Amino acid sequence: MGALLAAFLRIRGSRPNPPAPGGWTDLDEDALAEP
Amino acid sequence: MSAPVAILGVGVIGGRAARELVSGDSIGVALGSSREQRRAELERAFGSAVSVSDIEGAVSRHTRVVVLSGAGDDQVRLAARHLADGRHVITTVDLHDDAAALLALDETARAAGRTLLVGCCFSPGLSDLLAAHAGRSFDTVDEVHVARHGAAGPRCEAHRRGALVGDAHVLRSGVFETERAGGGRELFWFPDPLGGRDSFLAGTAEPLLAKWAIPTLQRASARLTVQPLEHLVGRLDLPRRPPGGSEGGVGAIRVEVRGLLGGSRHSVVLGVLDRPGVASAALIADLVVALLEPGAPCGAITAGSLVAPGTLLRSLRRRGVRVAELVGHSG
Repeated sequence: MGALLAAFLRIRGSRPNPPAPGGWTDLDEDALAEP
Repeated sequence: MSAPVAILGVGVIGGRAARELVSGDSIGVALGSSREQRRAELERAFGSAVSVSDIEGAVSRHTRVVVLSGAGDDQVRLAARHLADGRHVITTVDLHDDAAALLALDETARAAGRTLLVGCCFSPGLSDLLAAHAGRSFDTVDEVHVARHGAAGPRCEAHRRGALVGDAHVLRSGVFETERAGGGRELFWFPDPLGGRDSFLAGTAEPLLAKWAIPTLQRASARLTVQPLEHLVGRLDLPRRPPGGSEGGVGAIRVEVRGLLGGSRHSVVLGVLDRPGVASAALIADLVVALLEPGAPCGAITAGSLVAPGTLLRSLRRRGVRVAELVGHSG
C-alpha cells in the first residue's frame, strides 16, 4: 500500500516541462569526421 | 554450411541484424533458435537467404563471429564457450549484472586472441559509441550520463521494467555506489519530436561499460524514461507489450559527456531518435563487418572501442541511423 501511495505521489509530482534548453541539430558526415 | 556469422537467439534485434547483414552487406548468416516455432517463422521470412537451425547447429568450423541475442545468462555461457573456440563474440546484454559477468571474460578473450563486444544494442551499445565520439572533443572526459527511451521488443521491454526496480549503479568520484532504481528523477530532452521526458535511475549497464572504456571516469549514470502511470501500473505486474507493437515504437537515447578542454569544463550532448531494434541491428552489422577485417583488438571491449567512433557513426548514418547534437544548452 505504501509503495502504491509513493507511486501515486510521484505521478502527482510530475510538472509541466520547461522550455527545451537549446535545439537538436543533425550531424552530417563532416561533423562525424574524426577530429 | 559456410556462413562466417552465426546469430544465436533470434528475437527482434537478431532478426533485423540478420536482414541487415544478408541484404546490405552480402554476408552469409546462420540463425540459431531454441524454439521450433521461431525457427519456422525465420525460415518463412528469410527463405534460402540464411540457414536456420537450433543453437548448436548454427555454428560450424567456418563461423568467425557469433552474435548473441538471447537471454542474458545464456549469453554469458555461450560467450565463454565461443571465445575459447576462437570466435569473436558480440553480445547484446543491457543489464548491469550480465555486463559484469561478460567483462569478467576479458582474460578468456585475450588468451584466445579474440574480441568480446559487451552490450551492443541501442543503449548500451550505440550510447557507448556516442560517448566515445563526444569524448574525442575533450582533453579529459570525467562524466558520462546516459538516458534511454523505448525498447526493442518484448524481452527488452521486460529488461527495461526490471531495471527500474532493485539497484541502480551510479559512479561517483570514480567509485560505484548503489541507488534505488526507479528514483533519482531528472527531466531530459531527447531528440525531437520526443522532447522532454522524466527519466529515472535504472540498473542498466551503461555506467559500468563507460567506466570500462574510460578507466579514469569519475561520474556516470544511466536513466530510463517512464510512461505516465507506469510506476503505478508496473507494481500490479500486468503482462505488457512495449508501446508501438511487438518491435517497440520510436525510441531515443541521450548521452551527455562532460570533461576538460583547454583547462575549462565543457559538456557535449549527443542523441539518436530511431526504433531501438533497427538502430541496434545496424550497429551489430557494422561491428560484424569490422570484426571480419583483420586487426580487431583482443579482450572485452565496448561498442565504442572497436574502431574509430566517427568512422562507425558515418557508416551507421549510411544505414539510416542519424545522430543529432543538442546545441545551445547550458551544460
